[in-house]
Amino acid sequence: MSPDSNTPTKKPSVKDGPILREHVFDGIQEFDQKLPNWWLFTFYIAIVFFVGYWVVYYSTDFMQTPTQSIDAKMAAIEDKKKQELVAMMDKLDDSVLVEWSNNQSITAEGKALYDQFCVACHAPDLNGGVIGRSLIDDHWEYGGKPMELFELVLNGSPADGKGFNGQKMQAWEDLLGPEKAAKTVAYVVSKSPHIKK
Amino acid sequence: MAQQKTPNLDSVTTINEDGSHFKLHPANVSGKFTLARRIVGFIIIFVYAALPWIPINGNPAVFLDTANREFHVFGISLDVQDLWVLFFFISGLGFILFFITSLLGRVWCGWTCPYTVFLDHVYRAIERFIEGDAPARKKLDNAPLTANKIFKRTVKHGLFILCSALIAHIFISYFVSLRGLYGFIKDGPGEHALSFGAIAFLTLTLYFCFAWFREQFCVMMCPYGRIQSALSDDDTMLIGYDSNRGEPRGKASNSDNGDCIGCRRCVNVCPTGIDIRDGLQLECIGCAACIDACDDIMVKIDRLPGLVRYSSHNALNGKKSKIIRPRLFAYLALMLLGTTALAVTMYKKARPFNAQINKMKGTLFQKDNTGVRNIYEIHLSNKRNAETTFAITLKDAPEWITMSGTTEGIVLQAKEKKTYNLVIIAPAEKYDGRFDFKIVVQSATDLTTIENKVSFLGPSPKLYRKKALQAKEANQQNLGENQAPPKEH
Repeated sequence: MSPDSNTPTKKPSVKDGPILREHVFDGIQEFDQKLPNWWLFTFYIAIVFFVGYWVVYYSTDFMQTPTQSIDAKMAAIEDKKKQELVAMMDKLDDSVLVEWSNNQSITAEGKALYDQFCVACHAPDLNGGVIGRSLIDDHWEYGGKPMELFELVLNGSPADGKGFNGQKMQAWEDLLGPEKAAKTVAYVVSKSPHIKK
Repeated sequence: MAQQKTPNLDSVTTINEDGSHFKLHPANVSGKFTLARRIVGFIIIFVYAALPWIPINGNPAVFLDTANREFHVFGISLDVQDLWVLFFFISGLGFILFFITSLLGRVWCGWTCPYTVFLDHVYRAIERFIEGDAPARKKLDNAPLTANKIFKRTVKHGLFILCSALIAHIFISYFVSLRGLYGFIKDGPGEHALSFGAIAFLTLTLYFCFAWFREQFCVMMCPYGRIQSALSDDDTMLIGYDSNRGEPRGKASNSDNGDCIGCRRCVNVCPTGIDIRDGLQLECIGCAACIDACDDIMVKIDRLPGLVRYSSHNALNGKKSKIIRPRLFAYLALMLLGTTALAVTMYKKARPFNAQINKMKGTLFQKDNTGVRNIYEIHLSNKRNAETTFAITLKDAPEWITMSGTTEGIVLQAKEKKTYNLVIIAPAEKYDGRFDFKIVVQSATDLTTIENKVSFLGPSPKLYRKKALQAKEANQQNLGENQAPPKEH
């Protein structure tokens, strides 16, 4: 199979039988045939793309790295949260929350949220238990105005607060967001006889 | 311009010496296999086009809703966090293909592969209808650019693009549903640039593949085609030429010659440009066109059909062909393993709802003199298209624990996701260290349940009890001091 004559008189063609490349490895030789042009084209395209991508990615600000992109998205989320909070704070005051507490559709939503997140500690009748304080008695550890309750729900028990039976309430802002927190508070306001209106 | 090539085993017929694409014009063929393949092909196209129209459990039969990260397959709904079962789907499917390949060879390629189905029964059919049979098409290729040629080519490529766009729309409706697609079309491309871009890209790709690329995909790109040579053996079914019967080739009038009269009909009809008489080759997609072509000739010259036929390497060489062989059992075992794993994971994971249970963020446990508490977050997600009520119960838990939270009548709207908090309390007198139990969530609609094993964590029971006892005693002795009275407000 090794090529005896390396000086072909005419240009070799596949029609005369397979053309072999000269190098031999373990007695194995290679055909000398062209790759399909479309195949080579994909390589050339890849090379061109690589150069362009390399320059654009590393030398311009046109594309973001994954870290930048995540940072930007997280910042946008934080921004939106802040805006929502600011908007809600602008809208809310004690009288609005009291007004909401008389709105049945809002308190119904609030009750659903209360049943989801609050009931485990503050009990279905809002009277608390071993874990959470009662929300219907006359004692308000951190203030009994609707807005004070709202901020307590958002931010949790204050850092220097006493806590109750060995623990403090967590901040609910991440889980609820300002709107749901306000509706939950409206429900509590509607149920609590000792709220300071 | 080469019009006819003699296929050989050393180079690919469809690639010219200079690397350019040699355009094949497979001749028309008819016969029982061609007819059967056409019927199978139309059934497959029908099923493919019909799936997005058939509603099961309120969703299309196949709806891979990537936008909402929900995946509906024949009434089974998967959330994105269930997608790992697709590993078993792929492995199960893969091993089925292994098994079929070792038994039946490239039957998938020739009969059921969507690429072949669309190419043969849509695009080549259109081409034949407009440009005529193979000699007419070759003639048109070489003809000067006349009005007639421009007209035919425009109509052909117009229809190709139309079909490609149709297929692309059906394909995209698997991901956005028909209703979604209709909405997109009404809104216009500007509103849904991504979907429009996907359809446009897909249309162009399909057009390129079926108008120009054709057999190159099967011969050089398809990975399945490459794996198959490792899966098949001498007993695997293949389309083969009976050289014992056919050789030596020659005129039918000479009685020394074999049955093959060298008419090249089998070569002319081959869509990948091989000569089946050279034996099994990588390019062969098992389309059976050469069987119909040869049988047709054999009947015409009054000889028995089946010179080219479905057979096996061993059978063609006069040996006995075995169907049952170790390879088959190995693939069968893999197939059963793959499909069983798929069935089990589907049964366990592809429920109409999901319930995932975590400890509440940042809390391991809480303790005071009355007891130890663990707070769990129960993340429910209703995958159904209908309102469903759930209930939460405990299983394998000690009877002295109490729980606090909403456990009955939990209502989730269609496709709603909700989180519920649940507190488990172990009283101080009974608490005896860590224990495991199960939180069971049951749907009232069909009573399916999901059990989650969770651990109740707490302090070292010895130390805790000592401290709690001391505190209690101290409490009783110094009533009035602030040693954590049982209830303060």
